[in-house]
Amino acid sequence: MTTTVRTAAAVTTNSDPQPNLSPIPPRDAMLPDELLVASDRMATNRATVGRALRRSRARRRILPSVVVTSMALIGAGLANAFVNSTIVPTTSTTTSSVSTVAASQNAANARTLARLSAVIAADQRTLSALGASAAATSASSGGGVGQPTTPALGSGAGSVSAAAPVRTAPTRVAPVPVAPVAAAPAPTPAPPTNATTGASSAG
Amino acid sequence: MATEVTIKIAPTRGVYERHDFDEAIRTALEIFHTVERACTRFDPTSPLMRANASPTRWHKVPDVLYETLREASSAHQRTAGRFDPRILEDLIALGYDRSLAFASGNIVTPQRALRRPSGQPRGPWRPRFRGGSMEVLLGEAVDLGGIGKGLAVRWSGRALATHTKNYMVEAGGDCYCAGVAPDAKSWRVGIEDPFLGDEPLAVLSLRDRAATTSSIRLRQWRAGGESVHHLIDPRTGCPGGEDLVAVTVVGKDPAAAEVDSKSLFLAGRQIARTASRRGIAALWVDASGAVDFSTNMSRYLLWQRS
Repeated sequence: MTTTVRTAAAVTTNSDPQPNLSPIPPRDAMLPDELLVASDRMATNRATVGRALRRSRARRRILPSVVVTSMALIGAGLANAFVNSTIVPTTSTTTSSVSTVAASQNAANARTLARLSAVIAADQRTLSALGASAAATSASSGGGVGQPTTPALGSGAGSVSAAAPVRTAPTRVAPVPVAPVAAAPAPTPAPPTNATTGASSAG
Repeated sequence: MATEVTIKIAPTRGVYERHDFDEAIRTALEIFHTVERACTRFDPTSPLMRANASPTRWHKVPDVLYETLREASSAHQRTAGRFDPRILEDLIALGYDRSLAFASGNIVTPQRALRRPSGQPRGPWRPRFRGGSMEVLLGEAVDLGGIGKGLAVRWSGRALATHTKNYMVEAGGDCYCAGVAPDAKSWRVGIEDPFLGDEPLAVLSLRDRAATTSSIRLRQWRAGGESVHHLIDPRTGCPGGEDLVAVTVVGKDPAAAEVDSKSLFLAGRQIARTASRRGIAALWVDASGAVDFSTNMSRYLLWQRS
């Protein structure tokens, strides 16, 4: 069987072409300067409006998808939070979350301890410097160990000594940010049971 | 079976009428007695022991024993021999030839020689049945303790089901939970800690499901100077399970769950892989106290000790 396909091309001809209705005549026409200026202004305006239209069209195309994407992301976040909040609390889940919390707490505690250690070391250096200065003062004043280190003022027994003022580093301890330590969740007691299976009588 | 049986019924109507269920409970308890009488190995006059006395001859047996032997044969095939009631010989060799007072502790038995060399695998068990006359030919002596208990739970549950949708039957670590508990929620079954902790290892939420446990916590003793237990690996004839202490299985049928818990116990360190491969919902405890469970068990875990 042979099938013949006939294709008819429809050609439409405009028997009554519309005249050029553009208000702006061709440039080569002889026109007054005012009309040429007006024509230029209109062309500029048209170009400006065209650009604005293209921008707004692009905005209309892109923005909704951006908004939808962000809403979807927010929705996914909420869904995750919801799912996480309704997971059956088996031990494995509880253990993992507790261990995560514990790990972050341990890290915060370690940072705090490191800062405190640094402060204590600085204090110890300051105290050592003070001690050395006091010893030097005592030695220079002829006092023995345990003599007061306060500089003696006024006239003494023939000599006036003044300890050099010891300049120490400011020992004000910067406030150490301490992460709030959440108490470990208390183990949930076993729910009441209706029966038991297990070791005491199992075969 | 030497075990305590518990039956609980949740009323389906607003008012609980005890006399509605008295007959059902009596029937259910009588089933346990019937299975016990037919399948015990501790009574030399029981139908099982009479058949065991001359296993190469045909024996006409009660319906209950006939059905139990058929179930045991089916379980033997289903587990590729991992469940094998012929371990009776090995138990007797370890001195477990009578009901031992395990609860008192410090059981010591003399170890006897096995008729077959230890470690030599047996061939498959092929008992023969004549359904019309209820006759069996065992081939070798068998022990039906575990599967008999599971079947008693199954059959007593069916007796209760004719009266109520909501009930629970428990016998020696095997239980079946139908419908809902009295508080209209799923039945909650605690898994005991084999190391005698105060609270359970886990709590299961069960509806129309059975839970069984195979454990060596209670039934262990010393035989010939060695510490032994009653879960014998049929491949070796020796106590099996490596370092496992207890295995709990959840399934649709208590007898099948009983077989699965025993065969999983004997899988030892391969238990996770075996349970996963066979799709069994199982929870197990090893000698160090570590608890683990298969993926299918997680759907039944209502609570687990942290």
